[in-house]
Amino acid sequence: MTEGLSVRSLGFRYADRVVLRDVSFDAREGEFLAILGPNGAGKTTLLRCVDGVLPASSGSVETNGVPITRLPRAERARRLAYVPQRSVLAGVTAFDAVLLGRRPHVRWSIGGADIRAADAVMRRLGIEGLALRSVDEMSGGELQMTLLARALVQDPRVLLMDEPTGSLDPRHQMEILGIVRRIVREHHIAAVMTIHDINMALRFADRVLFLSHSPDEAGATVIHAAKPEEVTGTMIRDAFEFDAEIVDHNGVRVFVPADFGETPSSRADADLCKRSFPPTVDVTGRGPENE
Amino acid sequence: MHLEQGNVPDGYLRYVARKRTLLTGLFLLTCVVAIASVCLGAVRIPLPDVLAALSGSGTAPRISAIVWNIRLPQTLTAIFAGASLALCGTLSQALLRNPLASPFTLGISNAAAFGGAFSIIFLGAGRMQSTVADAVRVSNPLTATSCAFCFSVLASALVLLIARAGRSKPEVMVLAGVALGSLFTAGTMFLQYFADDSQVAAAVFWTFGDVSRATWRELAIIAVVFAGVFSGASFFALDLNALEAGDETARSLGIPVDVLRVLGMGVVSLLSAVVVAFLGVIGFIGLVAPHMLRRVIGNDHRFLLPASAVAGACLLLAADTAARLVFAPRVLPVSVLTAFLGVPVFLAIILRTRTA
Repeated sequence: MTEGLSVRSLGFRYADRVVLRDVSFDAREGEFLAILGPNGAGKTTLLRCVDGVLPASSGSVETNGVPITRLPRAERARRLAYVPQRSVLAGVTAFDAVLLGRRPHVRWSIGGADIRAADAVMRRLGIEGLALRSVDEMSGGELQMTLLARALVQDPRVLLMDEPTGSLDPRHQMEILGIVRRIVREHHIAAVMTIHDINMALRFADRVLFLSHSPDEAGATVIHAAKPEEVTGTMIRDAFEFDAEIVDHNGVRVFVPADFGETPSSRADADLCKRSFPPTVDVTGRGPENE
Repeated sequence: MHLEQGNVPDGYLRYVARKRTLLTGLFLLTCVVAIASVCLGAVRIPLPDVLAALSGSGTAPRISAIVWNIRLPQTLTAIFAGASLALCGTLSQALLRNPLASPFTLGISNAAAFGGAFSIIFLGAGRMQSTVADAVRVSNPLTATSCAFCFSVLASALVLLIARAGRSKPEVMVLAGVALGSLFTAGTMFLQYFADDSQVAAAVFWTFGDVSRATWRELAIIAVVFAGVFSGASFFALDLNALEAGDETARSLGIPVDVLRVLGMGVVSLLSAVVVAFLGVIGFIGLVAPHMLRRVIGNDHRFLLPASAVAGACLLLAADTAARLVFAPRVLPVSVLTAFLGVPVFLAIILRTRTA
């Protein structure tokens, strides 16, 4: 039995298109995973499948050794919590929005214990001052914190986050990822996030997965999985199809796109050409590497 | 996590208390309007006489008859019909995640009108019996009512079936409702084209929403169905809140979104079909009462459901009372007045909260 989250050979397809193929990874309790990959590689789809919101076409997702398809809905929602990229919530206060997360625990109606739980989580995240503010009037950072609070108040074993830093300035990105990492460690939650910022992933995650298209259009899969200190420029090139370096700056590993120095405009033109007419050598030269 | 370390914040308690106060205030207001509604009309009955008639202690039999046979059933019908329509509107808006949804979104009003016209024109349920004192009525209301009800239920069942085929997407439901509604309107026009003028008049007249049509028996049916739907909806208030946060979030919270949506709209259709079949089409309240209350009390359905039901009752009651008074001794059908009365209030609320 694996403690935490275990994804085995997960596949997902729409009627006419394979999105994910043979995706496998584990997230142990207390481990923070970052999933990197190009747009359209199916990162969000993957999170939805792991959460059970989308039914996987093949493979399995297990928490503490139990496949989520065998769990009743409410039990699944007590084990896995999902922070979507965007919220369409409107016209409610932050406290009510957070209280929603108690739904899987509520039998008849919201009680004192649920209200205390919401308060505890909001304090933990330092947003208790926002409690009675309407979500319509919130900044991106405040809203993201509120959504995170709603997920945490579910008291989950697995926390899934879809681009939690997508709409945040650098300071708030650091802040929220720092809080998530601390909570993940202290409360032994397995956390998985998708993210575009490679530097943030290197800085905060315990492990980084690269999800990318396979050359034969047969669905995206995990092409590399590594600890942040083991991530190389090659991995980034494999996933995103451009040259990059990982450099060490005072002990912090930083990702630097290569060759962007000399002539930005000509470089951009060349880049554009390459994107429109990808050289066949590059594509065939890059075989899919499974984890 | 250590979720036990929290408190119940004072601010939140005050915030909830404010909502409770608003709800209570609204309820009391409705009671006052209800009493006024029993007192006022072609014959003004002073409050003591009304109370005497209600308690059954020595009033003139005429007064007692007016109170028990006319005023009271009409007042209670307005209360339950208004509450039902507002409840249906709130539920439709939440379930379909569409601010323009109303009890009639699934084409119920058009289907009911078609059913009414069908029974009047083909089944001979009525001709316009227009006498000098303009006492107009449909001669066989029971046939018209059951026909209207059957067609309403049929229409919404069709829409829900179509929606099932379209993976229960809310926009599919709304569009299917619009399409089916137009189909029934066309059907009604078709029927009317071949009918004689008194039948057309009766069919048109039938669609005017009027709460005075109901007797105690019809009132009881509306009240029972309302009570069932209201308690069911209150039980799912949290799920409705979650739906407001988007299907994705709701599913993630363990809510069977598709089932909830289809069953919920089925129940909404049933309740609005009952109201429409008995009373005719009463527009505006189902669309607007929920929006008024969203502005005042917020989107939390634990409070929004009861509040908009009470507000709907209050609105319809006020409109019905006014309908008896403005052209007294003539009585307008209440459906004419709901919008006249509601629109200014509605606009005032929208504008006030925008600038605030």
